[in-house]
Amino acid sequence: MDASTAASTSHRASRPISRRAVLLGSGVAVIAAGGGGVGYGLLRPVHHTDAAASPPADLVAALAGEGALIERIDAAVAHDPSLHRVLAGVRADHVAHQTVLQAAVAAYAGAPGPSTSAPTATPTTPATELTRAGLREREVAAGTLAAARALRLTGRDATVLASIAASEASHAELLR
Amino acid sequence: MSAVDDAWQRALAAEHRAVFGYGVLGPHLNQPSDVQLAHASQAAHELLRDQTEAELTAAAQLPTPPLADYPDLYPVAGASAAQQLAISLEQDAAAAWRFLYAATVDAGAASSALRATAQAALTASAVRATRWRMAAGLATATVAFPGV
Repeated sequence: MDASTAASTSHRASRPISRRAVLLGSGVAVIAAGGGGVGYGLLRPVHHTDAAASPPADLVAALAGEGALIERIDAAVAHDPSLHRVLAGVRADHVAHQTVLQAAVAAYAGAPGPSTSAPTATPTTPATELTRAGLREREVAAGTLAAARALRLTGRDATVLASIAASEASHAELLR
Repeated sequence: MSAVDDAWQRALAAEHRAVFGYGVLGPHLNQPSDVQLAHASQAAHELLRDQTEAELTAAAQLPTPPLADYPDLYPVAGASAAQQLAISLEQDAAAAWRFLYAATVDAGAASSALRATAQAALTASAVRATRWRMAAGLATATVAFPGV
């Protein structure tokens, strides 16, 4: 057992399993096995002590933030197709973040429905924010925010967001 | 030994290994920029190793010593292999610090400072891994979940 597996295992210990979490776990197994960049075991069901709890606001906000980043990347590539090459991997990472965060939010019985939508990058987005430098600033801010949110979360939610924070810092490095 | 202390010692062990590993791979690099990156990376790991040893000592823990040798890091067959080893060292260090982060999560406010330290180290290794993937010319230079 490697370190990350051990960590995940320790988080699963002695917590009641909600029906929703079980259903989610069986549903996402296909995603985990089939690719999409999320074969990390991060989609295994999380067992929350309070089965009726709503997801933490920081977790919901992180999910919305990933959607916004994807929208911004798509707008940047539409504005400057030459960015596609460098942004393809970054976008794939954000989609993987979004998938795992969606599963984390849905694991709470009190989670909102699948209509949790992110703000979109509208045509009014300033062109300066659709440049490589503008996107880098967004990734720096996103990484800092994710780390701060992780510190306020508990359990596997916190560790997932800590890893996402590191990923977004590496995006900023790539876009330097 | 608590779960946090065990993970903390494992993070130190990963830093010992990274410091040693850069000494192994450095001579095989052939681009000045790669050599510079190796020096900077090794210095960062040495600093983190020293800080971690000091913090463990301050917490009344006996810091785990480095191994005499790390035979799993040999052989290094050229510059490309050296770059790949650097990526592997950073990924391993990121995993160790993420493991510590996970251990601190449910340990309460007493470990909040250590949690922040683990986040910083996890992020730093993820960024260095990206630099090495870029140096190696890999098509994908980032990963979605560093340390996993």
